[in-house]
Amino acid sequence: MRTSLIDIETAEQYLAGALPPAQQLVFQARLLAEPGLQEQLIAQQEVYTLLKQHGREKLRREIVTVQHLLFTKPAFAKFRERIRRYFPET
Amino acid sequence: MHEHENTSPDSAWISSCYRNVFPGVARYISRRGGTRDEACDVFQDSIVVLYEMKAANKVPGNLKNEQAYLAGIAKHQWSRYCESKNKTTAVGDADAQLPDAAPTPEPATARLLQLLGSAGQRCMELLHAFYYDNLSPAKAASRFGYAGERSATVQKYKCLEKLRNEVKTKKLEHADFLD
Repeated sequence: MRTSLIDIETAEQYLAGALPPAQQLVFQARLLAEPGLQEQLIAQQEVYTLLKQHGREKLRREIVTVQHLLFTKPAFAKFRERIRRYFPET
Repeated sequence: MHEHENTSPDSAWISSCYRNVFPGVARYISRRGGTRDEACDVFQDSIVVLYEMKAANKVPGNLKNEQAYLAGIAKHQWSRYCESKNKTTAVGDADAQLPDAAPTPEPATARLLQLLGSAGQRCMELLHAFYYDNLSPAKAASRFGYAGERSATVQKYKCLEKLRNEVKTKKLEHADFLD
């Protein structure tokens, strides 16, 4: 694996608190000595946040689609009737 | 509710969540003065929370447990919702241990979509499988057709690198990016 990918792998383990103590010390020393590495670490952390946000939005769209089917398809009339009993006003 | 073993939540699983658990949750919320729309919103959040807990292996993989868990999450979510509306509602202590709900994410901005899109569809699917579905390297290798765990992992880091570089570039272009 090329060096830049090894740095990404190490940064991932560092952010997860999963680096062995000796490697963690070495990585922390590099972060101090290499401003570029620090920048990359911050950007990588942001990517994880974006991926989580993207994942949630994708899942939520899937949920909304299923909910729509359950509330509209004739096959789920019984289910709807049950729910309607609890919310007669809707 | 079938096991889905940390794979993407399919519509059958989501549908089964609704058919098995939503009626009880709807009754619970209706008795506490909630509307159908509120019950739906709370239930959507609850499925997201359950899915993320399953992906992190924090839910025992037993059918009845999972349904009970989802019902518990929904009560907890309803209680949080009421608190946010300054309503009061009684909730059992058992629910107090549940983690904070997945807050409803803000819709992705155009910039965010553009950024994620720049990694390419296949990269996004791989990263989603690793980082949201929490798929193991072995399962990811099998699903995406890589020779082995290491190949899948190396590809994951390549995709991650693309996105990371894109984030760095965008940050340079727009100081307010991701604010």
